[in-house]
Amino acid sequence: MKVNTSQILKGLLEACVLKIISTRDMYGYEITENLANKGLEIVSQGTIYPLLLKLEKENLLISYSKESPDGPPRKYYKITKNGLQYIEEFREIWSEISSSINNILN
Amino acid sequence: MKPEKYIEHNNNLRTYLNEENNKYYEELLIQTRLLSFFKNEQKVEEVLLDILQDLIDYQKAGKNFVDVYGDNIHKIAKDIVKNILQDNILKNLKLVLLSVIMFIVSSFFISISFKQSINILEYVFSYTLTIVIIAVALFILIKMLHKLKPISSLIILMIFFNAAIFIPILASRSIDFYNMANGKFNISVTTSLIVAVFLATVIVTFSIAKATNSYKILLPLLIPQFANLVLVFLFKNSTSTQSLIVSSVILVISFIIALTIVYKNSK
Repeated sequence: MKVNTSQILKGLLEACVLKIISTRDMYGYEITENLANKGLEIVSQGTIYPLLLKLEKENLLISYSKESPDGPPRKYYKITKNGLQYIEEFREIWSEISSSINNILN
Repeated sequence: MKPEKYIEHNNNLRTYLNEENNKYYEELLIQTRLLSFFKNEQKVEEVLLDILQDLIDYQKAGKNFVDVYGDNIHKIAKDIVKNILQDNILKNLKLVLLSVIMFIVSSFFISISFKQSINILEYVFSYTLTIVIIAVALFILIKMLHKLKPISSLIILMIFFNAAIFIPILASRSIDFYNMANGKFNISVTTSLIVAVFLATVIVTFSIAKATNSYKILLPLLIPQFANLVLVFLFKNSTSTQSLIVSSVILVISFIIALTIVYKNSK
């Protein structure tokens, strides 16, 4: 059985996406490029869209249309207060869990 | 922005895709639109445009659809649709109510003109049959979409629709003929049944044409349906094998005509 990276990433990706857009509003391509630059190549980028929809439903981010000079408006994603709070809570839990897991696996 | 505006932008931007990316993206477009029949259309088109805009950026960076999104298009479409809220219930209810009224009115007028008795139960049965046919047809189409080429799927769908009209009629005639002596057991295929199946096929064909934006290819598929309808009414009261053979031949010819037009339009 191969290690399924996207399975491992499932919960973590949401927090990472939120953290990325907390620095500035971005559109889809920018988000995945930023993740890739930080070393997170999402195996199937199709996953980013349902994830963004889910985060919007949970009110952790909002989306808005921004006029673009060449072509139709582009959808930008912006973090909300709830989103910022989520990142903080996640950070705490993640540092606890990750050290425990590192302990177990090493 | 209204859904139509999104679709217009989508159609314009797709011209920037190279042939291979366009093939995959259009597949995603069709599947997502079909799967989201009861969902908020504006949200669906919004997401599809978003994906297209990102795909164009990736293409500029030298990546193609499969590199970026993988090739399991059905899964992507499913996941997207899963997270979109349903359209408000009132709107869907209005749609259902409208189709029920349309059906009742048309069956009513046809029954009157053929001097048949009006039977509520029969209307309920026919309407349920319409819904079942639509659901099965769409289910078959979605399942087959990522296994067969679109044209093959449409041909199979067309055969399914024609079978849905033809087989009950065939069955009722042969059973009538067999039991003519005792007169006990009689399946009558009434006009409302025929209208029901015909409406179902028209509705499915139109919604697929709308989802795939391919009216020129799909509407000719209705030709055998019209032929079927006309033949059924023309030969309504004759159970002779001769009339059956004549109807079958005319039906096959209409099939061939429809397929030729479809192939010509898809080139």
